Amino acid sequence: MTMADLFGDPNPKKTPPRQPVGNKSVRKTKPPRLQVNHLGPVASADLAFGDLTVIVGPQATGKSIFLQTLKLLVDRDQIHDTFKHHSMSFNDKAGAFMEGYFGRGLSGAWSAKSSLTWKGKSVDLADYAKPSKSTTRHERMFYIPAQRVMSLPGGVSQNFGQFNFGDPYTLRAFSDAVHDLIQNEFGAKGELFPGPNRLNDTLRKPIQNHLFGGNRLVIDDKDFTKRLGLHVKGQDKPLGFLSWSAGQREFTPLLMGAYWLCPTTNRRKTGKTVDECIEWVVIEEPEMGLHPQGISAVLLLVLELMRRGYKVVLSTHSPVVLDMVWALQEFKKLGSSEASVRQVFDLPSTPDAKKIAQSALTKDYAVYYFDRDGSVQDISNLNPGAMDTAESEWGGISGFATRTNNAIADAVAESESRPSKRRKARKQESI
Amino acid sequence: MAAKGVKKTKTATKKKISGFDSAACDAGLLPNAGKEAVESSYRAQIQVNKGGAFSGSVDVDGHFRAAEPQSHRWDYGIGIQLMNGQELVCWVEPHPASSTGQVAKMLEKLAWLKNKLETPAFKKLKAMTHAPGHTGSPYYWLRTVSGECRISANSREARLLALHGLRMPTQHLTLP
Repeated sequence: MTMADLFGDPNPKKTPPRQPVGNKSVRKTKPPRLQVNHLGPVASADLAFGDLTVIVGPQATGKSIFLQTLKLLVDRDQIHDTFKHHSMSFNDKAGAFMEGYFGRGLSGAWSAKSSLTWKGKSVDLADYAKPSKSTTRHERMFYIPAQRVMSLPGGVSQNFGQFNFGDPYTLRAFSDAVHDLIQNEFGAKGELFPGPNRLNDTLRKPIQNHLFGGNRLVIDDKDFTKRLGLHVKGQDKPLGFLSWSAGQREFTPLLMGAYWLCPTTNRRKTGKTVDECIEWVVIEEPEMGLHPQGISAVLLLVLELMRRGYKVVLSTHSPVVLDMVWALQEFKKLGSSEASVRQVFDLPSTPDAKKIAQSALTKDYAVYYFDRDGSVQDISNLNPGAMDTAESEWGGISGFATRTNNAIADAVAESESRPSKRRKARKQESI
Repeated sequence: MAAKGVKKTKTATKKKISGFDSAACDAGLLPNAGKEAVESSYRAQIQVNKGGAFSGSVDVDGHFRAAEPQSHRWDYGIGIQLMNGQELVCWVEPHPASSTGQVAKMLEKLAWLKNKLETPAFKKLKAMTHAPGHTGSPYYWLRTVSGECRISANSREARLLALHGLRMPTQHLTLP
């Protein structure tokens, strides 16, 4: 079987692309659309991306492989150039490339039935196992993977080459960016938070309050190794990485990613000209290990990324993420002002906060549910009153809360129907 | 002979008084056939479970409007006869769910209804409210079709509803 045979289905199931919620006049171009058939656990998916796209669904429904495929479609040549830079050659063996890119054992996600259509063009994924001859080779998508904590084992950053063949490319590339930031860009500064003024006060304060609790994130190079530490007030030595809270360990690489994406210019330049920059950001499970207040601080960073013009894609299991998307879409429908957005995030009326809030109301939002049965459903409206439970229960994310509420309502009604103790006693007396 | 015949026919078509009708009359409410007390625009949203039948309905709000103009009055009571002949009453309030602010209004209406059910006149209706044939809470919030639902399951207000024995608003009801 040749690789060309692997993607033979010329007629993927067609479903109409979603219409963005809100003011259509804001949308200038057609949303990028990715259609996938028979990709790992995904039987059929048709996603039109918004300025913010959120994907939800139970474990092992193909969300991650779908997003990694998107990265490959967007950054094909930059990925091949990175492998080449690290002396990794696949000798045109597509299977080996897939294992090197997606991770060991994942090349089997493709079968003879698999097919892809990206921005209206049918794509043979086998072609993507080789670089193209395009002159555009800069990175366009920054990917913050779910395994991001592995980029800082023991608080020391890892470069691309320190990982092994079969470790996912997205983790290696992210880790490399964090490594560069810690060892070079911020290495001499000594303090990573709240220090370098990479984020404005609006973004910094919630992180300070909800994630670091007034402690300082520092680079400790006492042992001739640049190691992250947490400086706690009143203590001489910084806390070692493994003594931090799980949420702090999860959040720190995410913060490094945000620093990388928020230079003094609007977007991160990755090519030779200012126009050659990052356009897309993928963040897998931004809520990992965080209290809802911490998640809200992260979501504020997401709104800042969108304000800077990045197209953001999130995967999540958190109702907080969907609460935000739901609220922003409702504000757009209701013609609400930026003050409503600030109310959600408990932000003061400062120019920076207003800018972020205002920008959020001009964006398009999309939400997709990856179902266990392999289908992918557009649930962008997130209508809690929708007839379809996939939409009303937000892809199962609020299903448990709904069942809990209803069970309590029923139990309350049932307890009210029982005769009271006093009445029972009176009845027994009369007998 | 002819007069006798007419009399016989009249007797044959005379409506059988349901348990719900009788309970409604005791409470001083005017029972209507089927779902007829419910405003026509909401009727299609209310169905009965397979095997059951509507045994009557009352417009509670309309009845108490003049006497209690300032109260947050509950709208409808609907009688349901189950397959085994048992009769229940389900209390339905069509109301917008456009914001969590509506939850407080619904809870006031529910408190008003529960107070009414504690009065002697409502004794039979109360018994039918708490009859064992109910599959869950007998109180239903019917979301009005035109309005959006903006009450999320994770909200504090959704939990308040539950604590008062009221399920989340829905656009269609299948009673009981």
